[in-house]
Amino acid sequence: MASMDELMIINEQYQLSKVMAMNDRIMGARGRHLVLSREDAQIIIQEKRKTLKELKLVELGESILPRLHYEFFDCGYIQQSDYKDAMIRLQELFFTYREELRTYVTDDEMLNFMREQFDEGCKGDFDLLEGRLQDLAQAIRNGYRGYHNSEGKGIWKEVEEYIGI
Amino acid sequence: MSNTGEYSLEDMLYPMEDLYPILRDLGKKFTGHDSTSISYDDMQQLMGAVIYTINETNPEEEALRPELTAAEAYALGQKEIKRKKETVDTICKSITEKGCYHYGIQCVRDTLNSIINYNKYFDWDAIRFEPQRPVDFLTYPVRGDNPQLTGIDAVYHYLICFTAEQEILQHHKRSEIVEKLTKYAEEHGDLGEIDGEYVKLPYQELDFNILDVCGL
Repeated sequence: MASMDELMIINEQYQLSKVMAMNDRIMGARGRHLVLSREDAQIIIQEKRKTLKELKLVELGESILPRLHYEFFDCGYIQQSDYKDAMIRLQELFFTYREELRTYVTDDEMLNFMREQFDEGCKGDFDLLEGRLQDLAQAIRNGYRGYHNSEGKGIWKEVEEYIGI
Repeated sequence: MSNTGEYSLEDMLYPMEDLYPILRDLGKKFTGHDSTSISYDDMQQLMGAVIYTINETNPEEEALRPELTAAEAYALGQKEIKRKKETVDTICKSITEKGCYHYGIQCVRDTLNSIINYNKYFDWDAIRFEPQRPVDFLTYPVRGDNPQLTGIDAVYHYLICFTAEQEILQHHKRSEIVEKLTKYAEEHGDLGEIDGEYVKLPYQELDFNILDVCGL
């Protein structure tokens, strides 16, 4: 006999296994890398559940978390000691703006935009990153679609033009 | 087995561990791999689609069911839904191209138009995500219909009954059928308002079964 609660538990176990698999892959990489412990990953997934509940969303199958981890593991603006909290904040921003722009952008476009802006435009400041995501959302509401051509990379100048900065 | 009435996770033969990979794959196809997240309503719909599809195992395969894995039962169910969908396509195409015996009865025409529109919207890509989509437009009371059926099953079964009815009607002269329908409407039809007056409605406005009225 199956139930929805059971589904959510199985889903999260699967997601945890995928995060840890990504972590193993990252640990094998050369150079600086930020890693997540199993406990960190569990806490991040629990936090995700709260964010998704507020947005009335469900992540089915592979979570965005392994990809978010892969995108930020070499980020010079985040310390290892802050990485878990950074991931919680990043995934919250991701889901909030992903949902707002659901029919317009893909996960990859959002991730590429977030990583590039976090490093280049925001120098590791989460509030500034949120501001840039708001600007992206505004530009898209104003008709901007150029991000499709570059998968969300190198588009800040175009975003600025669309929101009239 | 066909899908009737309510279906729920609680009635499911398979444990969630077995259903989960099917649901996960369906979710990926549903979002076109563009997103890891879907709305809660969409997730419920996809879960409903998985349960409905597994329940579609056809009667010959029904005996095998206890031995089938969830993935195998789902694959067989998909095959069965596809078969029904193809039959619905063929009948809709025939009705669109050749017409049918409706004798101007509005209820028959409305029902067929609704089926054709439903079928256009539900190509194979769409139907696998919601084979259980509610069907509430089969208003002409075809003989042998099963109102308990839901989704594509309901449309398929209805059209099979409708086709059987058409085969009987094609052997009878139109004028004879129209005469019987007219007489029936005059004697047993409902009252309705036409141009501000309550009169017996013509047979075209009524929703009775043609074969029953004509005693065929």
